[in-house]
Amino acid sequence: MSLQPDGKSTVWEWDGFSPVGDVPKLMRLRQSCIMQHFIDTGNHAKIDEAFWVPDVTMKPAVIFRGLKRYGQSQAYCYAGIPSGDFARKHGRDLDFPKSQTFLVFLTPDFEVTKWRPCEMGERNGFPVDFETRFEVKLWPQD
Amino acid sequence: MAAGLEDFGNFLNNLNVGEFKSEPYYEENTDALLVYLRDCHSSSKRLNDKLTLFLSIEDGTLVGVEVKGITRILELNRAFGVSVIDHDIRLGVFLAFALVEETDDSEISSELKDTLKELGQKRVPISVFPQAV
Repeated sequence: MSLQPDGKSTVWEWDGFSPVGDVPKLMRLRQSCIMQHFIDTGNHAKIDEAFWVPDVTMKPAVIFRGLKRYGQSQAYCYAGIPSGDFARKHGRDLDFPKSQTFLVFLTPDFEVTKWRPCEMGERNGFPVDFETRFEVKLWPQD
Repeated sequence: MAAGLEDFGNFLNNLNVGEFKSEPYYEENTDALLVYLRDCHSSSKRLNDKLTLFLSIEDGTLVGVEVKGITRILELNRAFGVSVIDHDIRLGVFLAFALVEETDDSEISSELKDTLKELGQKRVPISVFPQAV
């Protein structure tokens, strides 16, 4: 595993949107996990997508808990259309695909595990079939 | 000490990333095996609770797969003596387990099915899975 750019494996932390209450949730992404795999395997598309992770975890359209499979009942999924603000702030103008939303998966203690675009359903920013694929819609509560 | 978002953005911008190569990755927290075949933007299509396909945003062709519930598949694999060849397991074993669950066949084109079958020949080193080593 080649760690870049300084030879260290970094952990990035930021204040994300909390599914309950007004206090932000501390979120975390470890370089040594899937990020390093994308670097090692030259997956530029997935690395570009990582620019959307902060946007969606700080301003999601919807938050789910429970992925409806063994061991994943406490995992979170944040979904939403990325504003692109984080990328632009860093000099990148990335087009988010039309009719898609962006999913960010997190552990029960809010560590990012993976991210991906997904077809959007009828509701803005909500993934298609969200009613059947997640256990609980935590936020918004409507 | 952890770095912040400013560092994250700078990190992404300053990466020196090489040529794409397709290698399997086991994501331990979510117990999932991910395999990307190409470096291009994709959208995820969840076929069932075991299998998600990554399809090209441009033309809908297969970019990668995610098989979930790997620990259970490995347990069954071991218990029933499904083949391990030279410390590798064919990806097709995982795909077959994942497709046992009923899926709407109309959601997968015949071209996509053929690509999945070809992908099934790909070998996944057993060392990818910490629980199997």
